[in-house]
Amino acid sequence: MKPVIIIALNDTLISVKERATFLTGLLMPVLMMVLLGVAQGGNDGATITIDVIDEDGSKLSTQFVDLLTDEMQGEQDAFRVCAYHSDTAEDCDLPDDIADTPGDWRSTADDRLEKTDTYGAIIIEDGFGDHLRAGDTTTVTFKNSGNLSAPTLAQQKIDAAISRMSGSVAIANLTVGIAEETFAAFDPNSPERAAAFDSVLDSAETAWQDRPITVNSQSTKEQVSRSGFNQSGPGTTTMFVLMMALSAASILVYERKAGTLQRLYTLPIAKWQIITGKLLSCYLVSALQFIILIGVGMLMGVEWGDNIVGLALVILIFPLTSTALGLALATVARTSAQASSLQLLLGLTLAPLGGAWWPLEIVPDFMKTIGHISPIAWAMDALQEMMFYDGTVIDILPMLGVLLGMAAVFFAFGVWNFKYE
Amino acid sequence: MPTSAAPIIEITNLKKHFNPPDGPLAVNKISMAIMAGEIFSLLGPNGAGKTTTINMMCGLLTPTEGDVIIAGHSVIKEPLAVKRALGVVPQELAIYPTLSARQNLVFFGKLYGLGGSELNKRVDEVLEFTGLTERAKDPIEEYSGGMKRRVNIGIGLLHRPQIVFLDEPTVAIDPQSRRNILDAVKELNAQGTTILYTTHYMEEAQELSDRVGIIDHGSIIALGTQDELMQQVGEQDTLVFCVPDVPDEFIDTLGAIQGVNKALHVDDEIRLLAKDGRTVLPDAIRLINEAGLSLQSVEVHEPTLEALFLHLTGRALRD
Ligand SMILES: Nc1ncnc2c1ncn2[C@@H]1O[C@H](COP(=O)(O)OP(=O)(O)OP(=O)(O)O)[C@@H](O)[C@H]1O
Ligand SMILES: [Mg+2]
Repeated sequence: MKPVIIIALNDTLISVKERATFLTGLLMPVLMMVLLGVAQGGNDGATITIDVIDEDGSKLSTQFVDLLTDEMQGEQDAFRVCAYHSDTAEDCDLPDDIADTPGDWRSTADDRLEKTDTYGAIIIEDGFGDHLRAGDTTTVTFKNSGNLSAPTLAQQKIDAAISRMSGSVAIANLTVGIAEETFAAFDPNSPERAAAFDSVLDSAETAWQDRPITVNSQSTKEQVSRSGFNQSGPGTTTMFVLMMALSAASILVYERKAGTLQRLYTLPIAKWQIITGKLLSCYLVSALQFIILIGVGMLMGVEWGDNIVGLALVILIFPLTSTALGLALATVARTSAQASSLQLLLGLTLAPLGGAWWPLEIVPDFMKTIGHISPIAWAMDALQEMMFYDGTVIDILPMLGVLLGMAAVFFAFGVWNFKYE
Repeated sequence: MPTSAAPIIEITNLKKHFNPPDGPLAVNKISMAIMAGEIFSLLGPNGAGKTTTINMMCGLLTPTEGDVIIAGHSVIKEPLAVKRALGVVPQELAIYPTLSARQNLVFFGKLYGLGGSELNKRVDEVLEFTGLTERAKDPIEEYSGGMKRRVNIGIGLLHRPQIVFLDEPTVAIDPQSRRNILDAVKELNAQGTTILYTTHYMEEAQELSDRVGIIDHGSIIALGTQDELMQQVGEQDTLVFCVPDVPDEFIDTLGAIQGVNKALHVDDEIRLLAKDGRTVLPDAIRLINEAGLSLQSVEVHEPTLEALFLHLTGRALRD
């Protein structure tokens, strides 16, 4: 076993000294992760813009907008509220004079919805305040662009603001009503009634501030975004780990041409030890690269999930499958140039087939099936199971099993087809 | 020289047929023995089968037929035991260019089973022996051709092997590096190492060898000490005329001179093998002048291995 380790460490030293290892092994995947990640929406789950058009401009409508902002921009900053009458939120990209041109508000909103500058627009029509004061019902309009990945979440937030508002208004109207019955009726439009209403409404609002009932939210997990870096992270990582391990092929073929492999054969060690040592180094380097890319992905906001053991198993097994494929490749390539182009060809077909560049959910079913000839598809399935569905080790065992099976097949082919002379 | 009569290597009916049936028959049933403590040279032109023979002897190639017994072990049945007794220096540079000489030596030394202070001592000694101590830490890709060759050789010496195979170690290097290498080979032999040395330079074979095997087209066509081999040529001299632009027919004219055994045309040279060079010389010069050719120089060589090869094959060793 000792010669295997000596050879593996020497090869690892050689590839770590090689600048190309860093360029193609770390720099390129990180660049690609960023490019694909941004192209697919970055971490769009973080902030969703919602426009608010207050055509009423009354005290009540202003209060409603405040409530809405409060609900939507709560602790998690999940939403960004852009109110047209007071453009205070950052990054809204509204026209500078928006507050002074209420006539254009609706067309601006339609425009922004169309260009998906915003995901939804809430319109509070003229008369909102008067209707509520008079104890009448009123409606607000919510338009959404259809692109909203979590429309129900936005709906919930709006509903929450509405119930709070309705509650306060109902209390105010009830209280004023009771006062009128007990004492004397107000003239419906008198400033006295309005003052009484406002004062009760304020008290009610204040009382709401300290909610009598709060939800102690214990949901296990935030909804994890499935696009952006959460797609490009695992995608580029598995692709480049595969490519790195496939370089086992060009190393073996190159050393056969350069004569160093033959020189190793003249040493008093068994041939299987030599080949195993070389493969072990490729395996170690690609597993190390896997770990580093997971770390870099984390810094960019990839949510790899909490299943450390599962992740570790993928890190151990996927490079094994890839290295075995590298060995198989080495036995069919005659020159190292051939090996490198085969390596590139395999990398550039198995990656998109396996869903490294775009999610397999968006491809037709038959392509999804074909895609699973790629080890990347199984590694992606395992990773995403843990990222999006809280997958346990048991949940990812089938994928790991397939990866191990593939490794066995590639190794068997490689060993059978390997030419020592 | 500490040559003993005991063979340390015995080659029997060694044959290599690449890609049969149409591939080259690179080595054709060679049988010979190499004695413990001697320098044995395998001399032959390009493609004669030297490397193929060495590769079969060190277990790199499987023979089509035959076997080699080295230090008591069959290369076919006990390849690892054979490999332990051997230091092999391949013809092509087989070193890791991005690593330093020391890193290369340490790596191969470990694989030869050396470790700890023994390993460091041997690496230092080999660096000293090959004259690379000062550049030991630089990456090999920054070395000159001769220095690379010396690292290539040094690796094969690390484990103090009983027997060292050197396959054309002086190809394509400057005269000074060649001198160093030849001296190192002699010193190694003086320390008791048996050496198998292949080359197509007859000067090297002549300078180094106790015994020489001449190989051509996969067969040993002559074998023995240099004296024995010279007797095969007989008392023949080689006359070398430097004459540009000689028509091929003219060679036959020269070959017809009384006393000339063989005539050969190599580049700008005409070579004649003759029993007594001095009697042939005047006739040859007269014929060259009569043909209107310009004779630039004439040399008369004592019998050489080159002459032997010419005598046996009708061809020059280098062409
Ligand atoms: N792997 C191989 N496959 C097929 N033919 C080969 C192979 N290796 C060598 N040969 C052929 O065998 C013959 C002998 O080659 P070899 O390399 O042994 O010659 P050599 O004496 O070492 O020549 P040189 O002085 O050029 O190194 C040549 O005709 C060569 O083409
Ligand atoms: Mg050769």
